Amino acid sequence: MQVPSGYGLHHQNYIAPSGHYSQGPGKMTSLPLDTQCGDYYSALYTVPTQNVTPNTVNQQPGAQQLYSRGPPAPHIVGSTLGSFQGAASSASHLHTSASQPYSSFVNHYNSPAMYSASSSVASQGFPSTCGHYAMSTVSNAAYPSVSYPSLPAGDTYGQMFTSQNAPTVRPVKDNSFSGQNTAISHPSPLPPLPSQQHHQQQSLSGYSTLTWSSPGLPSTQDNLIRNHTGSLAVANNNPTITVADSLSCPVMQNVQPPKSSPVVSTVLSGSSGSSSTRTPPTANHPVEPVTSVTQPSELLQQKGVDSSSTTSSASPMPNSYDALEGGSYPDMLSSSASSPAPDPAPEPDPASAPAPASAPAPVVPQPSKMAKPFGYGYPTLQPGYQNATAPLISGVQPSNPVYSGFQQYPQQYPGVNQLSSSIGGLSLQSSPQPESLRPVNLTQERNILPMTPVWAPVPNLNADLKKLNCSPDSFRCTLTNIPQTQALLNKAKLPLGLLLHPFRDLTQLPVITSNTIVRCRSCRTYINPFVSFIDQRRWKCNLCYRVNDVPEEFMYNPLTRSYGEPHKRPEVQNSTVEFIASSDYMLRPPQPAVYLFVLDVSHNAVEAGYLTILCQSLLENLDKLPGDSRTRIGFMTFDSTIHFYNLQEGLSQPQMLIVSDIDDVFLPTPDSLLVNLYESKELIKDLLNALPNMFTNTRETHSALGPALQAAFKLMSPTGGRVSVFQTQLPSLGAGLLQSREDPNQRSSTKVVQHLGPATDFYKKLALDCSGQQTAVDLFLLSSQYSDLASLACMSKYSAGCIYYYPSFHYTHNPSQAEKLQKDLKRYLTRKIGFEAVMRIRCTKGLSMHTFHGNFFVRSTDLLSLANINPDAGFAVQLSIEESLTDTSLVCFQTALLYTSSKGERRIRVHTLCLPVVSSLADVYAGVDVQAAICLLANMAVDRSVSSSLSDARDALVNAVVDSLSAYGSTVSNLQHSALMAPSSLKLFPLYVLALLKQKAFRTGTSTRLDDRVYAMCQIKSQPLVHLMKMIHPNLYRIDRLTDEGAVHVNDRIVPQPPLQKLSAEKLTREGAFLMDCGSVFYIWVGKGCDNNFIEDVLGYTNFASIPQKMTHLPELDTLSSERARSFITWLRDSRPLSPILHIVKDESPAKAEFFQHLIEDRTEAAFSYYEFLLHVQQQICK
Amino acid sequence: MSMILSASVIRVRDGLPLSASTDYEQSTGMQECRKYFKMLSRKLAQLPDRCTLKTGHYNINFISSLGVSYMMLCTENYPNVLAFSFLDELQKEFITTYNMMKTNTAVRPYCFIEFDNFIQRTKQRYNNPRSLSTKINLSDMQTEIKLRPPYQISMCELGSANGVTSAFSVDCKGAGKISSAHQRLEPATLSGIVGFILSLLCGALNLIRGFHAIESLL
Repeated sequence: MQVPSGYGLHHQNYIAPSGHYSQGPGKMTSLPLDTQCGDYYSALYTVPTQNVTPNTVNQQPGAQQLYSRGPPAPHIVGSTLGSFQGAASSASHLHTSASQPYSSFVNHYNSPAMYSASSSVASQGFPSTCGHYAMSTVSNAAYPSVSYPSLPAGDTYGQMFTSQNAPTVRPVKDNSFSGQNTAISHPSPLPPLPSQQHHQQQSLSGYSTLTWSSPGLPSTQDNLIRNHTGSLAVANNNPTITVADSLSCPVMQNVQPPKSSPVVSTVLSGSSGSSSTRTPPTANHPVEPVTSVTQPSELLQQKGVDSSSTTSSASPMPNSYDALEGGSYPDMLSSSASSPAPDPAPEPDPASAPAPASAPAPVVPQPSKMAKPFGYGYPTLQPGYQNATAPLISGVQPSNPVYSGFQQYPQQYPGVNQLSSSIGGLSLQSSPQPESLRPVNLTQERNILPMTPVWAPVPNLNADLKKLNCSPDSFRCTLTNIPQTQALLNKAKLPLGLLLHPFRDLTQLPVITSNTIVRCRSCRTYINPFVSFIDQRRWKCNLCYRVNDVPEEFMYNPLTRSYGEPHKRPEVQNSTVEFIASSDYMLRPPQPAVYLFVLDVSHNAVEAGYLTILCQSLLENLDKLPGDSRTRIGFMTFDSTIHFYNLQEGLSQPQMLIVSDIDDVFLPTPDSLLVNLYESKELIKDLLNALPNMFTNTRETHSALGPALQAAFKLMSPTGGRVSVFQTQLPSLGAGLLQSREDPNQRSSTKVVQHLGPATDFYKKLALDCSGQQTAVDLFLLSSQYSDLASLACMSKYSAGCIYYYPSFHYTHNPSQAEKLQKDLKRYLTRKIGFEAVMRIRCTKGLSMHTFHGNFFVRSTDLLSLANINPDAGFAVQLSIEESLTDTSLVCFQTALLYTSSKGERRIRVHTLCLPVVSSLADVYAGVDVQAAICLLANMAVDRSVSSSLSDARDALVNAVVDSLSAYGSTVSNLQHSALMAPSSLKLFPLYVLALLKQKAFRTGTSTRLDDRVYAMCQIKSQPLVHLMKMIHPNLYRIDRLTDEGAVHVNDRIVPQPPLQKLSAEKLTREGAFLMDCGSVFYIWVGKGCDNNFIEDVLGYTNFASIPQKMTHLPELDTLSSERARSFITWLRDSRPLSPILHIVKDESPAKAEFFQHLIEDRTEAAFSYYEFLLHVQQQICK
Repeated sequence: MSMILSASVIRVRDGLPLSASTDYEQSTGMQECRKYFKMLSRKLAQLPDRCTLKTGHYNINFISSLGVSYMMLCTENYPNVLAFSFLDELQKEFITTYNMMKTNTAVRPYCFIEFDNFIQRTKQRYNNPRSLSTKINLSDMQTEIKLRPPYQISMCELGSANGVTSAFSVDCKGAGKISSAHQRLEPATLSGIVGFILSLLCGALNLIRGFHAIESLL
């Protein structure tokens, strides 16, 4: 007899093994619940809804009324729960309850009718216990809807991973985590102290604690955490698992009949991983896997835009100017505006600068922050700044073994008594600090740069989460400890944002094929390692805290071939996974790979000779182009007219079709210009062989790039794909023609740098049209004179393309550029590619994203439209904290990249990053990822330069350092203001900012061509962090004395690991040879007095004098030192996608200026040295 | 102008798309019609193996055999005979290229997207009547269609079927949506009402009994 008679159609599905359900209470009684019975059950028998307010948690003991907390509006039920709930909200529905487990516990509860609040979920019929429905209907009149769950948000973090929770069955989440955080940030060797802190903190935050009642326990946990022992998780595992098991009274939502077809689920691990097929035992379980995706939101967005985006010319990028200045550093504007500058000029005018700059001593405080432009004419410093008298202030206790490495400093500096007093002051505030918080006196620390490469800081999570967290190569946050409130973030004066490299080439990637991709029903988050499983049947979203059902299919783990362990699924074990998407994620059949090459063949282009290299490269890599048998390819050339090539299969030779009407471009034949690569391969090869010589005698100097792009758009719009544009000069004809805007005399000006923005919106509009048709435009600019990259770059920026720039390219006169083009093309043509992609970044409720950086089009607030995605593209996002994060201790970020692979598979790559939330400023500083912060600042500064001015951007960069260091100084209250202090985590911050100021993109005073500058800016916006950091701060190694000490073995090769040198001429000795790794270029500087053995063994010349001026290769010599040098360089090269070119620079050769401009710690005629910069910063702070 | 616009290969069992043509012609009307592809593919199992759906300016024809359905979209004036002979050709080629095992075990949508190449070629041939007429013998197909005309699906059938059939259709993704949930509700039957009242009664009795049991315990 079925209860919900309205559901006659489905009744046969509800015959459930009732034993399965009733075993829940049976097991529960065996749990060690002594005092908390009541609230434990309340946690179990409630309905998953959203908006769990953890504050209610502590009111629970005995609070029965929680079950009947205000009935929510029916539409909430309908929208958040499944179809069954949708039906439940209709008036005719009768509510029933699966409350039969309570029957055995009636004595615990005075009014059983109260439980009916959970009725609408578990209305499946239990034929044997139908008597219980009576009582539930009684109360249905009063409580027509679902009750709020009383389970705390995200508490499985506690259950699963933290040891604090062992004594309680259901942890009070906030308590456990605030405890954990304090434990980590103040690891103390003295047990009583931290426990006091815990109590303080808990009482402050108003939680009545259950967990922390005994003072001994927290301290032991402290020790555990501080020592990072692996036993953390072990301590609590058993109780939690029992909890999970006992929570087996499932709340069922879905009334779908069981599938008649076998659910096939396959997981491939890596490329050749094991796959398995199976049929889940559906018979025992009446619930069919919830079809989690009906209309993915990405898809909806896509639909909405297909029709409208083509005409959109609004700026897709929010202006980050405000964010840089107004958002994160609110008092910067005011200070600059109201500064009582003696100089009347409100703008930082360099002409008026020398007056304050001639101040006699660097320690004299400047009256105004803004009056003096940064980076100009600063007084010289005392060379030996070791003997400065400011005492070293540090929180280091000499007796503390952890910091024994720093004991040398007290000997060096006399102020030991001051030191001890400051320690006393510090320990009041926070007991001994972790390494990242150790204060560093920047002006005293001479070797600020570590000897080894700087690694990303590891988020301060427990060992389990650490292991699961996303690789910093793909996903990094500027603050690995997220501040709890925006106010705290503002106090810290640090940028908050994410750095992404989502489509990175990975060696190992779990690929998951399953019918249902498990996602949160309300925020669409993909299931990830940081969700919590409330029981075997439900999981709680870690971004919006909604409780979701675990679909039936998810219960089976194809990797281990075991059933009932949803937390062991690969999705939950890996923070980077790739799903094979179902057809719900497709608007159309997956597109084939389509490549179109648009080539400049004007006189200028033929003269530069790039066609030979391109055609050669294409011929070599034609078979390696990513794609399947449907791959299509096409070619267009243009000068003042546009030439198409008919390559239709069956022709005897390629047919050239010339369209001279560039005002109204049309396609001469629509269907034979883009041809199947395999069917027309011979014709394509013929064309590629003929192309380099076809235009040798051309006299045409004009370039109709705009019309050619319009034609390319027409050609590509039915399918989408990739357009590669090769351009060698300013476009001079038709739509989109450009004029030269650069004044060569202004190249080294320190005044306003103009024309960083586009001259016309033609290219941007075209890019947006292309983006709407899933076409990306990649630009290769090979020009010897100014080509207005600022305007041309728009075609790639907004269509998610990429930009390559080869200044003064010539195939014979500039062989190193030619070689670079060749190598770049090889990578470009053969690297992975994703088509018709969209990327969405989600973050925990309370955080919001406001500005995106990279090449894409922002289609809606958080959806990035990427016509193409390539493995070398990086992105950055700025974050703000909208709501206080006090009720959570972890925040998560998830990037989902939906793309069509070149083989026509629709895939979703998901990265999830989990970070702790902290409430104290010291913890925020402890978790700064200085490299990520610098990269984000660089992105913000580029936006700022374009929207405002370069000098504004430079000031903002300096102020970023000033503000963060002064904010830090004010937290460490008793420090002398004469010392410039920074936490150890931030000690490289001033150095990197100085490096940015001397970077091509932002430098002033040094001659910089406008295109070079714009290209550097483009790279900052689109490069992933690892490559960007090398651009900003190159690595310098001494390579004439490589040894095998500390060498690593890579593929049977021994790669020596020389220590990093700081970027100063001070480190260069004439007797040595140095390698500088600038990301896209390597320099080997050979000193005049370099050992002849090195020159002979490595460079292959007899002495210094015989080394040629232009040398770009190391010869393969059969000597040990040559082998070492080459293996080191090869190792460096292998780590990046675009093979850098090598320049061997002799001391005293004219090329050495190129090398020396990268020595950013040194003073140049136009810019500070590092020490001067520090003094400047210190002065600004003191004001 | 009469021509074939688009074609698609779909597994009958669950409507999984196996292959489809990449469409180079684009118009809004056609985009609309592609939606019917999706709609139809959900309930292929309930439809006869040769059907036609007329949607304004376009027609959709499809045939099903061996668990795979071949669907095509053409302009309304495209001859029926040619349309079905086109589908026949697709079917023959598909069956010879991919074996049953593969099509039955496919999980990923558009597993056989490379079949597109053949669809493209065939489509081109059929859209160019001059080259076509000499190559195929249409009389057989003509008589076959005359003897057994394709089933005409009406639009209303397509719409209402959405609610009714999904209850017992194999795997209807749309059924999870709330909107369709209402359509699937049927009025309570007499036996249902009686049963419900009885169960209420039993429940009440049990409850009372439970109270008595507690009281007796105390």
